[in-house]
Amino acid sequence: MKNSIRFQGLAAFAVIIAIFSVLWFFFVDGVVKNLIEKYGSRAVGAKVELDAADLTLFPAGLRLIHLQVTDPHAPMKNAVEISRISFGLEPLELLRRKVIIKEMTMDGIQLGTDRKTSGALKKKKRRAKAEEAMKQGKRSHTVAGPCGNVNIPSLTMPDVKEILTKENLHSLDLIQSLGKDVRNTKATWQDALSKLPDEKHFEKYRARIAKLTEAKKGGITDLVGSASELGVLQKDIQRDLNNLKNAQKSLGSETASLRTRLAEAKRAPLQDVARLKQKYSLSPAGLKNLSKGLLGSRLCRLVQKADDWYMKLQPMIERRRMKKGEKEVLKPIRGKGVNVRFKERNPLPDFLIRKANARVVLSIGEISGLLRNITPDQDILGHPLTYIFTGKNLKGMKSIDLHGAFDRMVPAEPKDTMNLVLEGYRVNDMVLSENETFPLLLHQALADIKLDALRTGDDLKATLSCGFGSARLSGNTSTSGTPFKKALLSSLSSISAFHVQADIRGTLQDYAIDLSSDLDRAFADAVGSAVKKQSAVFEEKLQAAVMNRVENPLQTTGKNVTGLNLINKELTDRLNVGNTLLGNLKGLTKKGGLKLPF
Amino acid sequence: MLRLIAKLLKVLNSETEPKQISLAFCLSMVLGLTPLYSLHNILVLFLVLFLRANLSAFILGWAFFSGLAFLLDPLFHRLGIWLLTLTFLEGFWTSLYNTTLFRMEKFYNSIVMGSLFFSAVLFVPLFIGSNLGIRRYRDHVLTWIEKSRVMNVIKASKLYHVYQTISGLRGAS
Repeated sequence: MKNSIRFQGLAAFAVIIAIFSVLWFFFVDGVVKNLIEKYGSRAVGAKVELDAADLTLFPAGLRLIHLQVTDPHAPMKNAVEISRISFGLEPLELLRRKVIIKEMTMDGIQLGTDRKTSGALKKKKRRAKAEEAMKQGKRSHTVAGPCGNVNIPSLTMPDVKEILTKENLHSLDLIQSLGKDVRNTKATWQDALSKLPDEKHFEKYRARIAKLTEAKKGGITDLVGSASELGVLQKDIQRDLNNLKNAQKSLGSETASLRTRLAEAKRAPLQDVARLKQKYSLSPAGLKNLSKGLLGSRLCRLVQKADDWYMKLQPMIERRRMKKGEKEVLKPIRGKGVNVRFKERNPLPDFLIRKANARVVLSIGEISGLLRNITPDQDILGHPLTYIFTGKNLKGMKSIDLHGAFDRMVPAEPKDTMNLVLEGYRVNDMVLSENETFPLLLHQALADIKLDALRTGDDLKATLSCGFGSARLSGNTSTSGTPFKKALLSSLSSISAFHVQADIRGTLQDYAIDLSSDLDRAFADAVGSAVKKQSAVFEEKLQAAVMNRVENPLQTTGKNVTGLNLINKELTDRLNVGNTLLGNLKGLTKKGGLKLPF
Repeated sequence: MLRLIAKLLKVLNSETEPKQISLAFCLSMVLGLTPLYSLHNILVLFLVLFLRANLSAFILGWAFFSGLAFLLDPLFHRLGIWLLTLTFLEGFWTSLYNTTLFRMEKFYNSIVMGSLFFSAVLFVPLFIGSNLGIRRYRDHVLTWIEKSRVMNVIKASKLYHVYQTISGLRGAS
């Protein structure tokens, strides 16, 4: 027994444990700092930096000093900067591998602060490629756009020549196609005419009639022969006349069809003019959506940015899970294997911040916030994450109230709400539109903003309502330009109050933003007459240019259609000759010329 | 590599008790196959130091079994999941899950469970097997090898030179 035990080993074991404890004591703060920076950066997609971390055992707690989270879309800015975060941990739960924070305090939260150095992450080539590919995929979704494809109408007189070089004239196509058909028809009929009985052909009948007349003067034998020849001759002439009549009938119907098409071709240029006018000219109806064109892109960017951050928040409020039989299996953030969860006597999530107090320092003043139940396992806790941020008597704002909840108590049926009310928000020099055609600047206004957003499952429903009073708008551009650009600019000075409403509907992956504003009515009233005048001038020019294009081919086609009349006349002449011959033949039998003796 | 093999030969050929070497192998198997930062490995370390297990054999075994663990991880994962989801053990796992000590052990992780179960099952057979193996090696193989022509060739090789160097160093110290 004595041989099997090494008592010095006890001392060695104690020394090893002591060494580890000392190392932990000296280096744990650095390890915690590095872990926060590493995993924070990975989650955000930009640098997360921490000045210092201080882990204490008695009482168990952690203090973080100066946390900076870079805005991934603007690496020279911090999305959030927090001066101090401190919280206490529940030690017994920590031994059970659960991080339960009873109360957390976040002091000096600042948003959008400048950085001294770029917070962009150095990406590995392969990862950068994959991200670029992902962005491309996403871009195709956003360009087609949650805001649709409403463009701001052009505020300058469109160049007619330029329009006609890039636009296809349907009327010209129609006329050219008709001209080709008319030429083909004409050629076909000229060919047909040469095959139909003509003057030469009828001359032969005349000769045969003359021969019959001679026979009348001859004997009985000649008379019998002539009677039979007369019948044959009548039949021959009648057959030719029938052929000519059928041909004339057919020509008539073809000519009628071509005439109908010619009439259509004559109307087509005007239809082209109307179509192009609607496309290129600014009409009072076109002004109906001017505000959407002006304000839409800015709003879209804001919504997409909010969407990005919302997606980044998801891992904090919902954990990825998979089921293995009846057991719930959790995918650990790091490490090998999977963790299987069993029923707990007092169920608690692996990570939970029961209460977090936040003090947000903005240029307008301080906003205090309270968040409850921050955990990725709300189904275990049985409570949703709720938040409320309030501020009163701020600089340039009467009050702000933001509250809502992220409800993942039933993970398959997420329900998130957000309600924001800003009262008496003083707007100064806000760029409403960066559109090159008509940049719009809101110099000053008092705004009341209300946002109600609800996500149920995949469905998204949000309404943003902004009322602006005591407003002073300007076009932020020179007053030179078209009359109605001038009119639009001058109308801005008379607008002192307006309302903008955005309705966001759809699913998280595919939503549409519908923006409406009473600015449209103000714009329409202001520039209505100028628009009408310019529209009339544009129409006149466009009509002249289109007619100039189609005039020659139309005239040529018209002449060719008329040319078919000559063929018809020729057929009529031939019919007349044939009828005369047939008449003469009948005269020969009626007026006692050719009577049979029995 | 040559040094490692030489060290192994040195351990096997030494006067150390076979059971000390076998115990060291078995404990190194637990440490090597299971995730390093597991609670039970503190116990393993304590036993290695307290039970007079051969430290050289332990370190060699740890290196070997750690390498082997990389290959066996998928097997451990499947084994662990199978064990943790066995219906008749559910009550047992649930009671362990509600105990702080076992929660610290992280037994509910598929790889911890799979690898720990695997090494626990193999512990005794490996101990007996390696014990027997070392004895037979010393009684038969070592004597035969010493006399064989191959050994004469080996004695002239670089490997044997390294082995002797280590033996010399050990002897000197």
